[in-house]
Amino acid sequence: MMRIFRSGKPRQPVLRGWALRRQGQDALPLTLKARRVYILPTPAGWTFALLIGVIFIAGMNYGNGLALLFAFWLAAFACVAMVQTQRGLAGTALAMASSQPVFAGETATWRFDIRGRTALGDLRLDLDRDPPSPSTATDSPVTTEGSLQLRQPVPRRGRIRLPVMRISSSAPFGLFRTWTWVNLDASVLVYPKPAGDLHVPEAPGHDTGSTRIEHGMDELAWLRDFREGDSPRQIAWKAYARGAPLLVREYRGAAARRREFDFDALTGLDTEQRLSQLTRWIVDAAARGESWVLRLPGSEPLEGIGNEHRDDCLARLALYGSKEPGR
Amino acid sequence: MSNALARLPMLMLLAAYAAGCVLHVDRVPGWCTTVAAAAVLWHWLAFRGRVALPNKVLRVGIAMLLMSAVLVSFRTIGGLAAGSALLVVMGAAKLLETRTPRDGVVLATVSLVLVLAAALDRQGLALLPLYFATGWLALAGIAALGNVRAAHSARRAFLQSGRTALYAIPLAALCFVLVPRLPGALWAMPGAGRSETGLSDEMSPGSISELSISDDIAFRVRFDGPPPPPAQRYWRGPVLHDFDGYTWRRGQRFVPLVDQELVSPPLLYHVMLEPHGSRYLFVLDTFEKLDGIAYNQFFDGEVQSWRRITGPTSYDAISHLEARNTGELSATGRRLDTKLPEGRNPRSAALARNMRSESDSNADYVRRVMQYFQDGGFEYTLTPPLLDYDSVDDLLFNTRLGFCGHFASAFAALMRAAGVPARVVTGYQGGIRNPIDGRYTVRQSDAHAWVEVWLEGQGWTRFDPTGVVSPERLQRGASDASAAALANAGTLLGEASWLRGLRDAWEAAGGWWQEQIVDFNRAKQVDLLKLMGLERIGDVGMVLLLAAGGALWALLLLALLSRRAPRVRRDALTRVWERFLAVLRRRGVEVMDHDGPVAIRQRAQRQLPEAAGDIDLFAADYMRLRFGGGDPDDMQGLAKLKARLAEISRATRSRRRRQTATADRE
Repeated sequence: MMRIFRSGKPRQPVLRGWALRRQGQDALPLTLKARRVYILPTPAGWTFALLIGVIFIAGMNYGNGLALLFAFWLAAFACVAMVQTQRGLAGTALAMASSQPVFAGETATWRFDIRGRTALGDLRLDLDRDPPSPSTATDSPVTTEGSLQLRQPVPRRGRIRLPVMRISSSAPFGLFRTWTWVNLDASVLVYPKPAGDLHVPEAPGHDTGSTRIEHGMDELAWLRDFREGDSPRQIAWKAYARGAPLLVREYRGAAARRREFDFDALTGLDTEQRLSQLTRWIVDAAARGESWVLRLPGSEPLEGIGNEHRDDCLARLALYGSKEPGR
Repeated sequence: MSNALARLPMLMLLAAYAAGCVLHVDRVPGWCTTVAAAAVLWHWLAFRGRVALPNKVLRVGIAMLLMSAVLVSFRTIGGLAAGSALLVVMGAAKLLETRTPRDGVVLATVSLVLVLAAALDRQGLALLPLYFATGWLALAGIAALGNVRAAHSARRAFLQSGRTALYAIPLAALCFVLVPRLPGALWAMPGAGRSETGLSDEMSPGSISELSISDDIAFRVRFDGPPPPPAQRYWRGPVLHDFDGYTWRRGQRFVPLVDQELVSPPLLYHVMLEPHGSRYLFVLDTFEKLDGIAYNQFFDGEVQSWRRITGPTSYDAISHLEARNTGELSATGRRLDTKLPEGRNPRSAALARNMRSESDSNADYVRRVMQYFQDGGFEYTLTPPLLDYDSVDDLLFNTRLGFCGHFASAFAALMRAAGVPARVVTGYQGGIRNPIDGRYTVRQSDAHAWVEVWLEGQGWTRFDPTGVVSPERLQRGASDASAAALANAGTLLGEASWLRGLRDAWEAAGGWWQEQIVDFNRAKQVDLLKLMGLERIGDVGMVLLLAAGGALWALLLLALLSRRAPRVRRDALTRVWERFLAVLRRRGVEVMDHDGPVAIRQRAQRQLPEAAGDIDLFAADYMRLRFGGGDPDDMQGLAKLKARLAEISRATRSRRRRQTATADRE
C-alpha cells in the first residue's frame, strides 16, 4: 500500500481523530450535516469577546443601563453571528473531487464542485497541515455554486489518496471559524518523475507505418475531442463557434519513428530510476510524435502512438509494483 | 481573506473610527482630535499611494509620544476623560499600521470602545442615534472584513450587520431584564471634574445685567400622590448666610440644629436630577429624609450628596409642606444671620431702622417690608441695570428693577439691618407638569431665590419678595413673568402648542429612557419582575429563566435561518446568459435545461434568422468568457454581451408582437 504524503502534523489531532472515527468514510456526492460541523471563535472573535467583557463590567460597575444594553446587544450579535457562520457551512454539498494525473514531485490540483450557502470566496479547503495550503476559487468568488481548487504536493509515484481535508469558513463576520473534516475516497494517479539521460533506444526493424502526413514541428496535425484538463488555449474556438463540438488542436513534429522501451534492458539502475528513465523516454517520444512499445516485466508489451498511449504507459509505470493493475 | 486590507472595509473602518472620535470631540483635548484627523488623513493618503506609512521605529515612537502626551495633560490614565483621550490617540497610532484584516478588527474594536466611553459619560436619548450609527458602521466594517460579498458592497455590509443586529434584539432585551444586577459598584467612579450650569455657592445680583433663560432641564419630579400647588413648590438648594454688601455667600457651617415639628402628612416624591457638577440636591420644604443616595443634611436645610452629581442621579424624598421650629435659635445662628458689613448700604439700613421702630413686632415689621416691595414701584425684569457697590441702596432708591436675586438680597439685608435673623435660600420654584408622563419638569429658568426670616414662636418662615413684586413669577415661571421675555416668547419657547406638545413628548421620552433604561438597577429589576408576577424568582431563577428564554430564541432563530433555502448566487456572466435564454423563450424558441450553448445557438439561429449574426457573436463571446479561460468578471466583455443581447432583443421585437397577435386571435 502506498503511503499517504505527509508533511507536518495535523492540527487539533485529538479532536480530529475523534471526529474522523465518528463520521467515518465519506462518499460523493456529500452533503455536510450539521452534526459534523464544528465551530470556535477566531482571534478576532476572542478580541470581540474581550470587548464585550469590558463593556459589561463597565456597565455593571457604573450601573449604566446603556452600556449594559450595548454589551448585551453585542453579545447577542455574536451569538447570531455564530449561528449564521455554522449555517453557512452546514448543508454544503460536495459533488465531485477530481485531479488530473501528475508527475511525482509536482503538485496535484484537485477540483471540487461545491454548492452551498456561503460564497466560494469565503470557503476554504485545506489539508489541515502545516504549512497550510489554502484553496482558490476558480469561479467568481461571490457565487455559491462552482468549483474550488486545492493543491497537494505529491513527491512519490502511485495512486495517491486525497488526504483528510478540512472545509472551513469564517463568513459572514470573521468572528467564528466553522469547519469540518472530510475523508473522501478519491485518489490521483502520480506518474514517476521523468529523469535519466540515457540514450533513447531505437527499435530494431521497420518504420511505424503511420498514415498521417507530417509537416514541420509547429504544424497542426489533427483535432481531437476535448478531454478534461486540456488547456483552454488549445481549444479550437473557431471550429466551436461554427457549430462543431469542443475540439483540441494537436501538433506533430518530426517523422515518427518506432522506439522500444524495455524495463529489463536498463541494467545498472534500481527500480525507481528505471521507471523514471522510462517516463522520460515516453514523454519525449510522445512529444515528438513517435511510436513506441513499452515492455515491463510481468505484463504484456504496450505498443502504440499518441497521448492516449502515452497516458496508458505512464499509468502502468505509476502503478508498477502495486497490486492494482494498470489501465 | 487576503493579506491586504481591501478598499471598502478600510473606508468603513476609517469612518467608524472618525465617528467614534466625533463622539468625544468636546471631551478630549483639541490636540487629540487633531492627531486623530491627521492619522485618518495619513492613512487615506497612504492607501492612495501618495505617501508611505511610517516604519516600525517611527510608529513606536509616535505611539510612545502620544501616550506620554496624554499622561502629561491628564496626569493620569485612569478616569473617563483620560481614558477616552488615550483611546482616541491609540486608535490614531493603530491607524498608522493598519494594513491587514487583523489590524482592521482592532480598529473596529477601538471604535466600539469609543462608543462605550461616550455612553458611560452621556446617556441622553438625543445621542442614541449617533451611538447607534457609529456602532453599525463598526459592525458593517467587521462584515466587510469577514466575507467576500460584503467586501465588495457597502450596502450588503450594512444589510448583513443590520440583519444580524436585528435578530440579536430579543436576546439582548432578555439579558437586559434578567441578568442580575449588582447592588453597588465594584469600584468608585472617577469624578469627571467638570462643572455644569446650575446654582452656584454665591449670589451677586448686582453683577448680572442679563439673566439668560436656559430651558435646560434641572430635574424632573414624580409625586406619589397629589402634587402641592405651584406656589408651594419651593425646591431648596444652597442657603446663603454671609453678606458683604454686594455678594451673598454660604459662610460658616457649624451651627446647632434647631428642633422642628413636622405638621402636615408626608409628601413622597421622586427626583431625577440632571448632572450639574456640584453636590447640591433639591428638596421641597420641609425636608425629612432621602432614599437611594448618600447625603448630608445641614443645619439650614441644605442637602448635599456625598459625591458630585456628574451623571443623571435620582433619589426618593419625603417632605412635609407644613412644619415649624420648636426650639430656639442658637446664639451662633443668630449672630450668623444678623451680620451685616459695617458702613455699607447706609440708606437702606436707615430705612430699616425707621420701619422697625414704627412696627409692633418683628412679624409686623416683615409685613411692612413686604408691603414696601409691593407698593414701592419695583418691577420684575430679567435684564436689570448693573448695580453700584452698595447694591441694596442702589436697587431700593435708584433702579427699582431686578429679578428674584435682587429682591431677596435687598429683603434679607433690610431684615438684618433691623436685627431680624434672615437668610437667602436659592433653588428652584415651580415646575410644569408634562402631560405625556405626568412628571413635573423644573428648568434652569425656574431658578429662584427667596428669604427665610426667624420669627419668635414660629421659627424660620419663608418670605418671597419677588412674589409681591411680580405675582405671575410664582404662577408661571420666570420666562413668562419677564416683559422682555414675553416679547420674545414667540421665538424663544414657541407659544405654538404643537411645538410645546412635541417638546413635552420628547422630554417624557427622555425621562423614560433615563429612568427605565439608563438607570435600570436592581430595585427596578425587582419591580419589573414583580409586575410579571415573578417576585420570588431570585438570582438563580432569573438566570434559569434567561437560559430558557435564550434557548427559545435560539430555536426561533434557527427556524428563521433555515426557512430560507440556500439561494444559489450566480455570477454576472451566468445572469446575462439566463437573460438571453429568457429572450429566446419569449420569442418562441424552445430551450431545455439540458441544452448546451451550441445546441441553443443553432436552434436560435434557425428560428430567428433576422438576428442570426448577433446570436452567433453573442454565443461565441459568452463561450469565450465562460470556457475560454478569460476573466469571468471581465466588465468590458460583460458590457459587450449586454449590448449584443439588447440588439438581439430589438431585432426580434416584431416577432413577439406577431405572436401576441396570434394568441389574441386564438
